[in-house]
Amino acid sequence: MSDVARLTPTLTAPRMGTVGTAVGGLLLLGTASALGTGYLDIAVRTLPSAIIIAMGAAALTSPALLVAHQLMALKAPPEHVVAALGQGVVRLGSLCAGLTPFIAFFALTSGLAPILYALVLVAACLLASLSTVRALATLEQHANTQITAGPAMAVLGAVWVGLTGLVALRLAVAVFAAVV
Amino acid sequence: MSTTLLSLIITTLRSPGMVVDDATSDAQTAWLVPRLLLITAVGGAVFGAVVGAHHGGIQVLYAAIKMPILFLVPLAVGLPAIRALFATDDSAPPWRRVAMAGLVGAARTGILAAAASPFLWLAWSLFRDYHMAILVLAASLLVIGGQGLLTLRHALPKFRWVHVAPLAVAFVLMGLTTAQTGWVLRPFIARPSAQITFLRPIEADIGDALLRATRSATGDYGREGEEWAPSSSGLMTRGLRGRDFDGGE
Repeated sequence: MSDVARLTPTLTAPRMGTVGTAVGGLLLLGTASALGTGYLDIAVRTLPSAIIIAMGAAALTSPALLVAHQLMALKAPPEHVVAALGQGVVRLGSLCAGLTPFIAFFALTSGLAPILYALVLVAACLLASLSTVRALATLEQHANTQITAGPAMAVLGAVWVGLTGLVALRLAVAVFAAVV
Repeated sequence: MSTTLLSLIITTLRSPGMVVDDATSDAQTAWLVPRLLLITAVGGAVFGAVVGAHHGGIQVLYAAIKMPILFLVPLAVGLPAIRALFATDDSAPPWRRVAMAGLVGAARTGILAAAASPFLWLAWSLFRDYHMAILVLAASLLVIGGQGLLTLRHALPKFRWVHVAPLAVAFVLMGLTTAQTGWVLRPFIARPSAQITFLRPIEADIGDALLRATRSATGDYGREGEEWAPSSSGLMTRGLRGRDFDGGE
């Protein structure tokens, strides 16, 4: 119950300013990684890569989650599901902003920045996804009296995260081909 | 609450979380921060001096100056990431708490490093080989630094199972940053034949260096006549260059 109480105030969609900060975090991480590429043209193309991969995957697959949510007749209001997804994107952006000094340090002092950038982006996406799935499950549990509602949403969320990960990977391959 | 430097050292070793919890007011934080930095600096300097003693001479002083920096730079690089990793759905831990956990961790590492110094000095008598000495130092830092890293969990007001994954990522980030900082600040153990310098040019990276040191320590020196020449890497040495698409670089 404490989780529900904790989550309830966050069920409003994040404000544009907050989303802007999240996009800024993704851009910052891309910039830090770009510094370590060694070549100006690659650096310029690396700058928006995190935004394209993360936001692109989220934008492409979020409608599918909403459709499946309605199809399974789950009870949480769709606007709350959208809000939880928005909070997930904000969380990802904050994570990326926090990880920027780490990537910048390796970009300045080593050739490891591009590899670490890829690993850090994957880790950040995973952590943000876990957080989002947890929020979605709690949301459904809160909106539903059936005890199985939370796990059903968690399973749906996990499947969605898996498919989103694959879409992100496909986008990453396309971005990598364009960058190099 | 600690009132003397000695009691602060004891509390830092026995219950580091208590020191983090103590820093609730500006006055208490202002009392703790310089003392924690002092403990880190002195402990690191003692450990650094012993590390430098492997080569001897001016390297003892150089290593004693650089070792505390090795303990503190990763904090500056890693703390924003740790705060972002430990943020929950609705809040992030306060900056003061995260910074104090980092400082207490560094101080803990400093105390343990100073205490371990005599054993490292003993190890230098047993392992005079340069490559083996590097591996011994890396292993020592891993053990000592691991204790400091564990202190970071006290940045969280209350530990929950959902924090396991962020904590694991934080450990990896801090470990990598510490290792790379050590590489940038090298030499700590100078090659026997090398001319001593305070810092060497930034080249290659820690992963490459440890791999080479492991090979050399096990007697694998590669093909005859082949010598490792570290390549320049990173923005500080390479900068950003344009590419000539007709003829490569």
